[in-house]
Amino acid sequence: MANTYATNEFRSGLKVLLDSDPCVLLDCEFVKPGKGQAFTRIRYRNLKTGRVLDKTFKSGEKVEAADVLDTEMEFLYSDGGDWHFMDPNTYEQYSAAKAALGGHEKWLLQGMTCGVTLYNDAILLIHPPHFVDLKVVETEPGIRGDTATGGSKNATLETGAVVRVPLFIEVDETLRLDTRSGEYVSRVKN
Amino acid sequence: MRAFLTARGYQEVETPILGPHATPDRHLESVPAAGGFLHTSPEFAMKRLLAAGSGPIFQVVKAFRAGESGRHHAVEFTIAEWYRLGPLEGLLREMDLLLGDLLGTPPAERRTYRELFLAGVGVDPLSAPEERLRTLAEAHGHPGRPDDRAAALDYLFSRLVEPGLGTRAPAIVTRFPAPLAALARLSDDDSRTAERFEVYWAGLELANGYDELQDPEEHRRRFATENRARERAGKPAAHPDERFLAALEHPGIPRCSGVALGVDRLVMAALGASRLDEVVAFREAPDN
Repeated sequence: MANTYATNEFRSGLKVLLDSDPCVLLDCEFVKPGKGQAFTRIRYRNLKTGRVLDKTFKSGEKVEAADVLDTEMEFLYSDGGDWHFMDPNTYEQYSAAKAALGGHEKWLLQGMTCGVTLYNDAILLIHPPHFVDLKVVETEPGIRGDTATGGSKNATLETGAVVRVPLFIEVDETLRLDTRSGEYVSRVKN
Repeated sequence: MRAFLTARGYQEVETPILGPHATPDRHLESVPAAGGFLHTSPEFAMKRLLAAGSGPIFQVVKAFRAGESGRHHAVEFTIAEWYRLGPLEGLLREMDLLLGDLLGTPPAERRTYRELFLAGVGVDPLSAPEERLRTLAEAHGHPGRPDDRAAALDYLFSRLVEPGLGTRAPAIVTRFPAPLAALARLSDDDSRTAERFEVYWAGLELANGYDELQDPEEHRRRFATENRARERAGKPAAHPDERFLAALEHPGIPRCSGVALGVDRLVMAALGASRLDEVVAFREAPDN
């Protein structure tokens, strides 16, 4: 018998199986209209699809727990089809398909520590660090003294990611990027 | 609140919190204690006082409802409950004055359940076929099909009507459909509605009241209905409170109207709080 949670055990952050997919509860609320029946209303994110949905349960209903674990792993390499990670404690290796990367593969550099969501001991999602430092490999020549105009240009980073950067950025400089917005934050002194 | 009610001739009373009976209400669970149960409201004891000739009475007291814990609910909470002689009208006017007094609210807007339901849901809660209501409730996210008409009405009202109630002024919702009568008498001019009302303000359901049912046989029937619903839901049936029923038979309760007001929620409304926790210093009772 799988582990279950009753509605009175619901709290945000709980990982449960809904519609046969692993989901995380974002918000739950006990509602009881007038002298009517009690319900528990939840907002949850489907961890596979990323979609945020609402659902209502009768109080006392139970849902199955999802075997989901959040941990950290080191990025090893990509062979083009899969991305390979290693648990730094056990040295066990895991591979992730492109869907688990969610477009974040462009920030990954060998040796980088990433957040990993495991579901049934397989990688479900990869969470890159919020900020990564990456070197510029290609960009138009820098234009000094033009910082006030706020102009920008494209720069290609060592991981292949292309980002908008200020005009004064030069090749070989290391930049700090926000992986959530995909935006340039600052220069990093080498 | 005490000053307001005392000035209007109400006598403050105290009744036992611990008694031998659980509530038969299908949607409430009593907290067991010391071989009996903590009350879910002081309703039956206060009605026994009314039957004994107390006249207008009020009480501010803790009440307990197992399993109710959330943004607007706590297992242990404070009820203000009062009864005056006569039909509902006087009580409704007083309620409006009390809210104005305590919260500075503008005069309450009165709406019947039916007109609000028609506007918010688009069907007539009194005449729409039960199947239609159950299907609608399921379409609006009720988990599975509601068991009956009352469950479908409650769900649809809470989903589609309640969120818009009591924004500009307190809303007093009157004439609930008969399946939601609880212990209110049916309307004299329409047996499809009951003389029950609810008060909404600042996104909160503040109070619930009745033109009180007097007929002991009708009480027995309604308790039996509740207990059948409890058994269907796999909950223990509750023995009816025979001393209460005996008081209804002899000498009987006078024609009276009563209301229960959630004091914690009243404080929330007064302070603009969005969670019960913000106005209750101790929230240490187990949730279950």
